[in-house]
Amino acid sequence: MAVVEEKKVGTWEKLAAIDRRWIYLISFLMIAGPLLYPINLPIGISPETAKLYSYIEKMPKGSIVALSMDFGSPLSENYPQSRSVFAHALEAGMKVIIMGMWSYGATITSNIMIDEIRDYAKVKGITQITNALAKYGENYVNLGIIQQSGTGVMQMAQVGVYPLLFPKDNYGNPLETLPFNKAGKPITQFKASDIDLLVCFAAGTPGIEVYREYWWATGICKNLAIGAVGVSVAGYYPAMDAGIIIGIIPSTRGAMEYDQLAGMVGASGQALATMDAQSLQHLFIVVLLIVGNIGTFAVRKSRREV
Amino acid sequence: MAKLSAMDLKKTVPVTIAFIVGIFGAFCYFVYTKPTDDVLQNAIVFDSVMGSMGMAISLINISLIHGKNVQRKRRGWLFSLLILILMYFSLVIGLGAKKKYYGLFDWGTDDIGYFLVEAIMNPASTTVMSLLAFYIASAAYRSFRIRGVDSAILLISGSLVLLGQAPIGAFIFGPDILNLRTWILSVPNMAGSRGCSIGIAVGSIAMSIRVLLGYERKPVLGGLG
Repeated sequence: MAVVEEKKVGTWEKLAAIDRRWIYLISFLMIAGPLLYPINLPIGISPETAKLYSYIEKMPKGSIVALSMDFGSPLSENYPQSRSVFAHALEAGMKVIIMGMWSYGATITSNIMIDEIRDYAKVKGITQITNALAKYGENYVNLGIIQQSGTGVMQMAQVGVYPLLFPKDNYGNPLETLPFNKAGKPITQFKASDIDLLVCFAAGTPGIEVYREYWWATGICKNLAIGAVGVSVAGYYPAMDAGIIIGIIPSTRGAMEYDQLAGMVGASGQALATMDAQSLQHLFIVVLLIVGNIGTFAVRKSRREV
Repeated sequence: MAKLSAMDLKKTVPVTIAFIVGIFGAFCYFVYTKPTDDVLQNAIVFDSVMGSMGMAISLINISLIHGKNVQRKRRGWLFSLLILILMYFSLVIGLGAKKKYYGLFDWGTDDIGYFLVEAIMNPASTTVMSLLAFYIASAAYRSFRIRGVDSAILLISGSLVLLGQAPIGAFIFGPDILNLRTWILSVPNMAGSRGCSIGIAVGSIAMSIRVLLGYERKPVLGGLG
């Protein structure tokens, strides 16, 4: 009898202390499996994503939307978000300024984004985007990196984008040669107050906090939104509820939601493939939590009985 | 009258400058006058220039520190050598870029720079980030154990947010889990977050005043403080 009890305790203890190598192996299968064989689970729309989408939809055509590419690699969570919003803003007839405080995001990744959206629009036959992208310097500009991040953002608010901050765009064109304007006001005279919406795709610091501090808090530009990575998204909800941020695109999932709202499924690129992997991994973590706690309870109970 | 020693001057002058500039900046923020605003705008530009100078100083600093490590063959000197080689290689690539990309020599090294970022930097950084998926699963399993009411609330709310964050949540429990996740993030999360934010803000103001008045000398004087 005593032997049977010992066996029971052993099983529960195993549940409460699964070897981490098994966890790594199952995690690998949960992530790699759906990437190779997608399940295509349906995706609901979060209210925070819908808020940003509706805001852009209601903006008058020709409004200035600035995208701050504050992340690095095009393989990151922020990249599909930036693709979705860029495609939607062009499709909605906005004028887009691309810039950023992170060097890779602002310079190299932004170029990749433009090229991929150009290909996407061509394949899908979205003429509004194709036409908009055909006129660089008129419908969109890529200003590149904001030097000294916080100071540069403050400079944009107080002094303007030209001539010190952006004497040239990301491709070496002098800014005064670009026809980009807002109701006749040339880009060389732009300040932060001329930007009608800033969407910051932030992987960390510097990110939206810089714009909050120098643009929002000083009343210079009150229209901020954020594309956030999964690990930090929870921190932005208080700002949204306080009216500081218009909307949030939460992680890769947000990019997929945005695509659905804009009726441009696939605009966010690889996001679709990663969502199933994310789903299964999240489910696996929840299952692990349940199993671990059942094991712990059983072990505690058996120890009390002993 | 006692003479100020060189060390006294080294300590007093930076603290005095920090005090004057800090008070002036605060004054300009709260009271607008055209002359002070002009000075403030110039100061912002000056700040940019100082930041760029800081990059040059950091280049010298890294060279000195890691150069000594290599010269004296200290522990891990090979890594120091690697840092120096890669740093100066990147510098040469940047300086050799086309002039329109702010290069100096127009050697057309832009393609090498792109290759380094696309083929090495991006995959390497993404690989490191991807490891989080494995570590978080393992860490969550080992640490999220119910030991009382507090940890139970944390576990349940965390699980709901986790499921709501991915499409699988709505697939299993219906679309209401999205609203539940948003409520958890917007209401209880906001309450805690605001408390932290207000605390940090008050602490920052107190710390700033201490720095301006010279009670806290480390931020201004560094090692001399």
